[in-house]
Amino acid sequence: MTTVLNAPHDLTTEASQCATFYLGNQLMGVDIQQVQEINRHATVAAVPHAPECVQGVINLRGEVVTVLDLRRVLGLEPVEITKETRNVIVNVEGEKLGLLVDRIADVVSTRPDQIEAPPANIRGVDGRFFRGVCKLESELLVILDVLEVFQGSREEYTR
Amino acid sequence: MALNNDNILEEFVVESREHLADVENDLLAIEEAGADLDSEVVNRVFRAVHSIKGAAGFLGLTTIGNLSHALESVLNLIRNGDLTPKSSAIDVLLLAADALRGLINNVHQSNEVDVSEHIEALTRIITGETNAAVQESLAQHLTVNPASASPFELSAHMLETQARFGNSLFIVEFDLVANVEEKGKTPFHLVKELLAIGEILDSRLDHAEWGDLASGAPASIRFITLIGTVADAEMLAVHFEIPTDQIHAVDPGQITAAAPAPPAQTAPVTPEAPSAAPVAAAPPSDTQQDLQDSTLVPAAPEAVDTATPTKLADTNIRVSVGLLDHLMNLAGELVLSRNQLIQAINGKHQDSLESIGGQLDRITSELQESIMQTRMQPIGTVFNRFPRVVRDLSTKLGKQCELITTGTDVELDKSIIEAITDPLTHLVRNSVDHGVETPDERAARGKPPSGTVALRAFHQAGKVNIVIQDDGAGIDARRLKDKAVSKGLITPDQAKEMSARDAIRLIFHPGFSTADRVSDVSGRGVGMDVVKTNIERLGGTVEVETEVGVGTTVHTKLPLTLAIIPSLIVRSGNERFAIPQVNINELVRIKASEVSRKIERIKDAELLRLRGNLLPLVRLSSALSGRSTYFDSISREWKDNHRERIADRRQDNPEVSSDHQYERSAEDRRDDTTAGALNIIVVESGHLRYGLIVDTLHDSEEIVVKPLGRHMKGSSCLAGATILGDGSVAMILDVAGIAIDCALAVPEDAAAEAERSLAAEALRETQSVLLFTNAPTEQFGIPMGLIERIERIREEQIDSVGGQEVLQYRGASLPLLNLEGQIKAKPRVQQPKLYVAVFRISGREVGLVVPQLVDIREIPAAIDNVTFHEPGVLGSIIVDDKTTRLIDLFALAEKARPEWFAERKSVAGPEGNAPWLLLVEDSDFFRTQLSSFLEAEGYHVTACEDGQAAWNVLQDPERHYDLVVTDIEMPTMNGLELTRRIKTDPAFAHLPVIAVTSLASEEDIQSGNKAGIDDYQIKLDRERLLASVRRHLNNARDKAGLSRDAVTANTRSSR
Repeated sequence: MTTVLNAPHDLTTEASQCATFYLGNQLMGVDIQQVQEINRHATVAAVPHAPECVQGVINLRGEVVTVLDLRRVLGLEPVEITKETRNVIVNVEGEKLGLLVDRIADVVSTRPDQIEAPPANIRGVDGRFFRGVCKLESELLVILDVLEVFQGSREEYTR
Repeated sequence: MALNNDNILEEFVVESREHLADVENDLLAIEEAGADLDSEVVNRVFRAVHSIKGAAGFLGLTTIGNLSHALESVLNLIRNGDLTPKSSAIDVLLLAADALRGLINNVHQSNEVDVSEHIEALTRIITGETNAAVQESLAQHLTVNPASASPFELSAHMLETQARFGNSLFIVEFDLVANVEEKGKTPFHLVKELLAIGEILDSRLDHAEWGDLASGAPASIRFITLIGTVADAEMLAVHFEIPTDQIHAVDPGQITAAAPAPPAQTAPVTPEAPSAAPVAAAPPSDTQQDLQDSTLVPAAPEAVDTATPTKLADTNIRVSVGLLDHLMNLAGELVLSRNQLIQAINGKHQDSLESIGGQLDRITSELQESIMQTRMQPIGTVFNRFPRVVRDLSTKLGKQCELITTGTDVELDKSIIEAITDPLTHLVRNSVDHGVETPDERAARGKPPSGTVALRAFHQAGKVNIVIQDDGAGIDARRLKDKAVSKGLITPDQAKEMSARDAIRLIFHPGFSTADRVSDVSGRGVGMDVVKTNIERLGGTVEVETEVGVGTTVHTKLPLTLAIIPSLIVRSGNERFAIPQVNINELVRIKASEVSRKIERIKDAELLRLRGNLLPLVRLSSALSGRSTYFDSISREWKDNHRERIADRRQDNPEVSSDHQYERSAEDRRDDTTAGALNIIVVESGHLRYGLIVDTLHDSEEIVVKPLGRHMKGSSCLAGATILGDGSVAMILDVAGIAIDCALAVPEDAAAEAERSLAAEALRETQSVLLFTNAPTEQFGIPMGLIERIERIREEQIDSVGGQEVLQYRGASLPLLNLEGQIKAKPRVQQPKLYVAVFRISGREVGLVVPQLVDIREIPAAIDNVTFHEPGVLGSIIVDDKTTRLIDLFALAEKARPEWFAERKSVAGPEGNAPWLLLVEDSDFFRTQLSSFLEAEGYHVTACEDGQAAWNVLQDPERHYDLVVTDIEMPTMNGLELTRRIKTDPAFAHLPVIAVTSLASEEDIQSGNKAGIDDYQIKLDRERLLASVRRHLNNARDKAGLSRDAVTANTRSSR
């Protein structure tokens, strides 16, 4: 396993690679620098009193890792667990975080000239979660801002 | 030579800190001792500072060297008796030691710190407090001119000191390359070796032979020291493992008077480029510095207070080699076991797996234990700082205060030691600031002018207890209430109803300060609430006991370690949870048939009737599902909207509609209340005790605490997570958090009432009694204090021999008594298993058959001894609406086996007069009991109902008493006070006093001993009480010098 750097590429100036996946029909990606590994969905332990978007926690080789229902974070319908469901483990702010996605896709290289600033809203999802939009030949790739996902998912929980 | 090597610097820092750790307390001891010094203590401080100086000189730490040198000079004068330290001088020494510690903590920047202030102050002590002769000898400089090296300088005073200790001077040369480096030593070892054998008066690295740094490592570096030692040259050679030609005795002829040293020459080389070659920056002999001349201190540009201190020592821990070896062995065993395991798996030897598993289990626990040990540190490391804190604070406040510490060797995990330091400091400061009064106030109250703060640490029930006790003013509950009302924390009505104990707890309320004036000592916004929060965060508890005018005691309990905690695993719904054992009081299972009877409801709250008290209950499932805490049985629904969340998480089998599943589980829970049995875990956190209802109990496991992610920071119910044996994750419950979350003050009325009744009961005397039934309808009780143990036996183990029942038991026969044989009772029901209560009579063990156990209960001593009076029955009492007869075990035994008691008779003294006993007891029941069996024994007894009455009776000149038997808790005058009066009055001081109690705790016994009580006995343990009475009467007679014959004969027959 390579050491994962925490800092993502600056998409607008340098070429980078994205691990991509589908949430519903939408292709999304995160900078591969931030991805530690991708796992099959395993049993999560529910955490009482956790924010709604927290699916639970898993035992990742002795470490307790929070798993987020990415769909809920983005304000979509809750995830439905299928055989295709994958758990993308990302490093953010020194913490490991699992993101549940519907289906995993390819690793895609992006060039700065393909990237556009995110619109205010994509299919009903707040634009603040996106770092940019990449126009691929066949479809649009929305690049997630993992840090924003992390923070947004915590804000939701106010007590 | 890597003198600038970080490792060496690190070693220096660690060692210096260790040296400094005790300096503070030793200085305080020196202050206390005044003129009659303990030379051992002074020497210890001296050597500590001397060691630092020696090593600092080596490492080029000029400032540390200068400061420690100045300190050492003063200590040297104290050591020689040339200077008697006053408090002001000790102040200076303490401050200098602080500064030295600061320099060491920040060792990299130490050379840039200005310590001239301290050095000047130290110098002033020398000039101000020594006589002219001493000063002159200090000022007089001598030069030692060795044949082979440049001269050393030292003061005449130093020479005198060495002569006084019988030391002769040597110049020892070391080759740092050949004698040190190549022998695998560090320069540090060398300094230590030097210190072990004598004192380093001066040392230097020989610059002349240094050679060219650029040409690489020099072939030899000469290190020349001037030392004073009692050893001779040959011993030195052996000690340092160097040839004798490197050791030169200093001939007195080589010592000549020196010309006053020009300051320029003695000024230390300021290390301009410390990183370049610190070796070259080795200080010129700092002992040369003239103490009178404070300008010698390098003019450091600025103090570097802001620089972050090096964390060197914090990240290091010292481990004994023995322990390390043990760990190594265990690691070896672990590897072997792994190999066996791999073989077993590869070879499919299933049967050997079990033994390997057992082996691994053992090694792992030993490994865990040993690793824990490496983290354990004595609490003394924290306690040691408090003498200083108390001294400084009491001086500042104009108070006199003595600190007593005990149990300093009690060990705690490093992390707890670190975390507990601040809260403890706060508590100690509080005791001095708020607790102990000024000498005037104390005098007015008839207390000694000097207050006492006692700091005790001890182990109890797997926890470390730390008690901070002062004999100060105590906390006035009324004042607390007024304050709380004026601050708007509680309403006047609440204040009126608040019990004193609750009021004391107000001090833990955030933002509550009791000091009338806000001093800079305690009025800094850090209150007791922070102390409480911090201690509870560590899994500990704090409790305060106080008595106005007498003092305050703060009791803290802490776990030994945080990393691995024994826990009970429980299940609620689909999830498993861990509850730390420290929070668990007991487990209660309520049978389905008893649920309706034992569970009470007040509004929404469920309460458990547990041994006469009401315990609030929380259903774990509802506590965790959302904010509504109780299942509303009337509307039969869970009102909160969190139900969806719980349901939504059940993703594992998505085909089931979540709502449906939720309803079903709610249904299950409902069934629990009506049909199923309840598992209740009685948990405790601080003062709060409540029952947690869970679905299933699993094993007890030792769990490793894993932190939860930041998303879960807001959940107060969880203390973390852990990974169970099967790899799944379980949440660790935070018992205190759940209580807060569920607003457990809800059944306030009930809890308050329970507490009131408890408090009322505490005033009355209670007895702990084992309740049992013989025939199902008849309930009996035996005082627990008399029972040695309870055995569970099978009916067939009972043999009937000659009309007597005996129990075959551990290869011997235990005589058995049964109730129906001796008193009016229905015969016991035949059943395969029954219990036997074992007690001791006339030195033998006897069993009483107690077929069915009911409970152990505290009952008041108000016993009806009329209705059911017969030999063998003490009396009756109503427990849970059942008439319960209390069994008199001794009368029962006497009735059954009179032969056991035949031997013992006649208590009369040698003159034939029966001794007169004074019996003091406020409970009618016990008074009658005690006096009747004392009289039955042949004593004359005068019975009084409280201490005052007894005291009056004692004044009767007509009657001389031989012994006093007294209760402790009594109105008007208690037993302790009575004893105190008896023991301080010369007319009665000879009277033996035996105290009788229901159950004596260790603490009671201590305070009793202080008052002068000769012995403690349990009230209804007639045998022991009588033996004690006889023993003390005999002792008293022996003392009175009477004939002993009759008495000893008496004792012999009674044993």
